[in-house]
Amino acid sequence: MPRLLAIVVAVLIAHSAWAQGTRRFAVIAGNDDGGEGTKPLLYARDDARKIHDILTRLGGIQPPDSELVLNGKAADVLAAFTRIEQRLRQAAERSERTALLFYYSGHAKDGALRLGSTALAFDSLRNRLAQSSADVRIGIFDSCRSGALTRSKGVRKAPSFEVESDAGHGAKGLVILASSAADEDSQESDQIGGSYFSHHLASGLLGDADRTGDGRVTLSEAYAYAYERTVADTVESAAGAQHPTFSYDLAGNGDIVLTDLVARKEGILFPASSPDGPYYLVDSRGFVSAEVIKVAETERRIALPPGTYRVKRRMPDRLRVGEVKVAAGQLTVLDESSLRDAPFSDDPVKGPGRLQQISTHVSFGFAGFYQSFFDGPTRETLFPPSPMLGLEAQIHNFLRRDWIWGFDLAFGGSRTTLNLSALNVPYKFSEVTVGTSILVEWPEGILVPYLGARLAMVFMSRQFDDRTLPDQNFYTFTPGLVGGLKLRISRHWGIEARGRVHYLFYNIEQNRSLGYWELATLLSYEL
Amino acid sequence: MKKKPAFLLFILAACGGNYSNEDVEFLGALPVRSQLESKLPAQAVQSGVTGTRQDALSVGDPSTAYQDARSASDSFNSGLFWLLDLIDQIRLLPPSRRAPDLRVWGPFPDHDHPGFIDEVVIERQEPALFNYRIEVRPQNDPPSAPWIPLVVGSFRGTGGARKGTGEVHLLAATARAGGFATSGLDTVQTIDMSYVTDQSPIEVNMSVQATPGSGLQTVTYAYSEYDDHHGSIQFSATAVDPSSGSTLVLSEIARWLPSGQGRSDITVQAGTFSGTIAVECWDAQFRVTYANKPWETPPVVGTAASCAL
Repeated sequence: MPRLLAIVVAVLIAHSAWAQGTRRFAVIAGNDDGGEGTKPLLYARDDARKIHDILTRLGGIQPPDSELVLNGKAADVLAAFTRIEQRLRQAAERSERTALLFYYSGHAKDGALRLGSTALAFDSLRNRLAQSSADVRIGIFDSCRSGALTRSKGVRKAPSFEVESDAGHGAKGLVILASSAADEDSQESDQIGGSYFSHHLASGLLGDADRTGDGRVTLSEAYAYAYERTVADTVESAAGAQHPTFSYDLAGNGDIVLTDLVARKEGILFPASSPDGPYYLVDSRGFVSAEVIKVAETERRIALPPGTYRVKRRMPDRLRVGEVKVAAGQLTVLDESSLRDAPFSDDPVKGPGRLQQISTHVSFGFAGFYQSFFDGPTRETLFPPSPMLGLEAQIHNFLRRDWIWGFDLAFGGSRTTLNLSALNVPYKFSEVTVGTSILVEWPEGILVPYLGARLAMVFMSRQFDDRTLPDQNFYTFTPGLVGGLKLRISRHWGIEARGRVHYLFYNIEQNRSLGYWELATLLSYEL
Repeated sequence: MKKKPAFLLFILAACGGNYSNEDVEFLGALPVRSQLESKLPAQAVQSGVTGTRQDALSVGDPSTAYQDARSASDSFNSGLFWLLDLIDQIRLLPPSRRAPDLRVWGPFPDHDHPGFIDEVVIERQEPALFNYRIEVRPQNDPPSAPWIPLVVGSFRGTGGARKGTGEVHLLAATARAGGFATSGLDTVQTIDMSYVTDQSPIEVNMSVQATPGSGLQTVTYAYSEYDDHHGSIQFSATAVDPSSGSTLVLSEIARWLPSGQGRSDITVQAGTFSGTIAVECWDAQFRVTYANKPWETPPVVGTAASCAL
């Protein structure tokens, strides 16, 4: 009987939380590159990824109903729109209520979103949203002068908008939220590892904006929270205060629930007894996952995904820091007594972990690998397969963010016998390589894939046991491709599996185009 | 369009070295001294072992027959090394020209023979048959002028580490006729060598043909070496006595065991002592254990049973 009751309650909660059968779709885009005349952003992609993660985890958007476009061009965004529109129409044919959310983080200039070298005009984007077949369309723009998008109708530079009814029943129309006014820049912060607006929007969606305490964060709650926190954080910045704006045009008044904190019972619960003040929840990579403005005697639930988080509460003269583990499907209660006093110098938000991923830094690696030529006869008679050892140094984020410029030195060799038609002679094969590579990595989590190109100089030699035969050597440049996967085992250490494919031009006896592969494992250390 | 050729040029310019299987195969056709030299066990330098014998032969004396065999072995090696030293020079350099069945080293100025240039050519006749030659020519001769052959040879490999059969000929008289000095070999017309290295014993035969009027006419060596390092060297010399005009033919065959023990059989085939046969055996310290020499007094010392061979 208790079990049946629990199921009924769960169904009821789920029903009320999800705007009663509204199927949600999302197109989320982030682009660090604004093309000519702009300076690359550091966190636009991260912001988009974070919002996408929150909406698909807590916002009732199924992964197939969402499109995440990172560093894509205008055509990529429009193509994503088209795919979602197609699904929207199919849902409409089934008489489903639908909602579409578009989020963009990146550059905007001269009345258009700037996606790399391409542009997407505000007007066409607004029209696209307006003409969408979704019942409710929400556009959220985190970009400079994005307030221009809210100009046309009902623009407000205000802390909140009023919603008359309690739910989104029958609501139809378009809501646009912009991170700044039409004459303001949207600002990023290294301190929080993102743009102010998206950071606070995310914190709000995770639960800190739930002012009613009903376990759901509505659009108006999220906006009000993001507005308040963004203005507060930027009012003293060099660029000046940044004021989010909105345009609200819902035909049948109603608020829209964006995230449900109850349906997914996992995260951190700040009990009412917790001291008030600002808390920062920092993930294992050093990024601020959420910021919580704890109000005295009020419970606050932050729906963070499973993981280990460092908690910081800032006090006038010191910090209170600690660690909290969130297990899947479990709500962890923050115990104030588990926090300890710490000086400001131990601020986890300022720690090197987060900056490590975005700032220029160096890493070193020790590699063991195996090299072999593709061509059988070449492998058997010319350049035998060889185990090798190598040292590497890499500069991260020097050329641009997530790019690695690497330098490597390796040596190896083997013993084998040269079998010719009139001669069989054992020999020792030796090889030294010096290379440089340009890699692009995708540091999304503990597994970091990377891909790139390499140019190496190889020196190969062999010494015959028959000392009457001269030592032989060969040297050449060899271009190649590199791909690998890095497993971060701690903030500094990583283990990598890597493959290389190289072209080698051999021209001693005859001109031959050869290729070889290498498989390596590396132990790396990032400073 | 211009980038691709530029890139290829860059790659080509950055390629280099002498890493070639074919070069190894061509060089493998050339004989090497370590394989063909006589390896008569060497005498350790010990007090009382070396020296000359002044009185009558007796058991325990240093073996003169071994010393004679040693001299023959050294002469054999000397001729061999003179020949192979010429060949060894080209191992130090990468070929100047490569073609599918041809390697050419040179022409290089010959620093030991100012005014001459040298060239080494190795041609592959069949997959495992190589002919080679070392040629010389006055530096000022036109390019169309013929080369003077100094060394010609061939090798047929049968697999393994230089296993096969070969021959080398030093054409000293021909080279001298072309003005090329052959210092140290002025009394030699030709040295002809053949060898078989793909069997046990390894066999090396060398014939030195002397120039007329030098007394010595022909010297031949036949060297054999077994896998267990016992071996033999047969030395035969034909000389003409300038005063009497008579011909003397002396033949000696020395055989030895890896331990150093050995035996020498000397036969005088023509001349004053024609038909004379002498035998001497020595132990591992190269001391006489038995001797039977008709011209000695006493002619026999020791017992034949003490001979290891």
